[in-house]
Amino acid sequence: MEEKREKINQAIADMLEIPRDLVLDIPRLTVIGQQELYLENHKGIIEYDLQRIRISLARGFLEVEGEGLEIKAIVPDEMIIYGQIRVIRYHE
Amino acid sequence: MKIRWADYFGGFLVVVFRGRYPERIINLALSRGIFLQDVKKGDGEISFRVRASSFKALESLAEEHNYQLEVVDKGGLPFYRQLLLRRGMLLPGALIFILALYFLSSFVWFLEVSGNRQVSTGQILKCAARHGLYEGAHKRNFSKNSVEEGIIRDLGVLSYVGIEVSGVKARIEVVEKVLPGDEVTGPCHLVAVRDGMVDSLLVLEGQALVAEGATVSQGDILISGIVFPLQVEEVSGEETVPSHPRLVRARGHIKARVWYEGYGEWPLFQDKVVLTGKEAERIVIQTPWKHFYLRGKELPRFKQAERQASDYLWSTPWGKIGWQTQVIREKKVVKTSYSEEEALEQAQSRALGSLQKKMHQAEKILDTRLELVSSPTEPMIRVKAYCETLEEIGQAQPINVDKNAG
Repeated sequence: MEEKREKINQAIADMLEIPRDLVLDIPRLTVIGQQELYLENHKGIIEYDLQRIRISLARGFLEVEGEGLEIKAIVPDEMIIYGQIRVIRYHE
Repeated sequence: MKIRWADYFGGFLVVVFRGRYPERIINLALSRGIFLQDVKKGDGEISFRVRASSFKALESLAEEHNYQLEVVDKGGLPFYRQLLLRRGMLLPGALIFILALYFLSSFVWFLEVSGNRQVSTGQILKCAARHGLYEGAHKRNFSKNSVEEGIIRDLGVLSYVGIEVSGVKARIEVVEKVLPGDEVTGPCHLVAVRDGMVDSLLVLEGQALVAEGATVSQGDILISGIVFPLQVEEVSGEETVPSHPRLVRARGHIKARVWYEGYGEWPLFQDKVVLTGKEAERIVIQTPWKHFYLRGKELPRFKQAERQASDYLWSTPWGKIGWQTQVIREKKVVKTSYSEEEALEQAQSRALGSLQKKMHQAEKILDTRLELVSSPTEPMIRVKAYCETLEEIGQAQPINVDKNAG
């Protein structure tokens, strides 16, 4: 059922040329070098450590690994992470 | 996410949460719409910056989920406001200071004059003051152009006046007129500038009217600029062409012996005014409304006294402000007598002094002589000093020729 709704949403987004992240609630990541990560459409923090941050998404979670990681700012939909980022990994 | 200014105006807190699984507090805060910044994880604790307005919500969160909450820092305007409320005069004081600074900077406090050589600075300042520019003048009360024009009009020797006001300082820059020199270029005579006896004569151009050994008075023509042609006897019987005198710029060197005389006298008895050493000082702070005496309100009354005052006064729109120091010193008259030798020495030095004042740039001093002219019965020693010098006495004097004549 959930999968079906997602497919319909995707079709509408394609047809109307609306950015997918708005319709499908999927994350949008902007990475500036290795120092800054700008993330939209997150669903909260699962784990936070200086070496690893796990961020909940609409589907699965995102894992950011690095050194001296710091959440510079966080609001319900967006967050900025500073630090020496080494790995960004998606988990379904 | 640029909310830093908003944070500053609303005030912000840096808080630390301690407890099990502190990441949870981030999600809980987000679910309540609390924005978090600078989230840092420590050992079993998490710290972040939040707006001061969300503190209540955080406090209730901490209570509900059994976290320990601690405020480690605070900043922003509301906290300064509290500081300002505690120190009531801080803000009005700062405001008064700014207003006073603004008000006082609208006056000219310093004046500077540059470029003047012949005209004194005081003269220019006085003239500028007449046209509205003086120390303490409000900048709106004078116009630069009118002051410039006024100074040029009043002081005819200036060709340019520029006024530049920067801050509380006004610079008056002047350029003086350069007048043509008094060098004689046209036809002229050489005349004697002073009385004397011609010692040597060298004519370069013109016709000599005096000979060596002649005694001349001031104003006598020594070398004439009017040269008459030599009359040549015509033997051939041809008609002679009448020749006219020629006008030249007379040149030459005329050295003459010139005598000078100086006179000096010195009394044998003299009344001299000396200071007794008694003195009193008064220091006054002067304001347009009242005078404050810091020292010596009542000055002693001396029979004879000398007063000296030095003041540091500034002109302001309300009057003069500053301080003044007055010193009063007692004087007395002491009778002194001199021996004849002392008086003679003094009279001689005076005579020589007056002689030196009269003398011009002598090339060579030929003879000097001192002569006592007072009688032995006089209570005064009088001395005359004579000097004989050798000097150049020729001076150019233009010949005024009426062009229509002849």
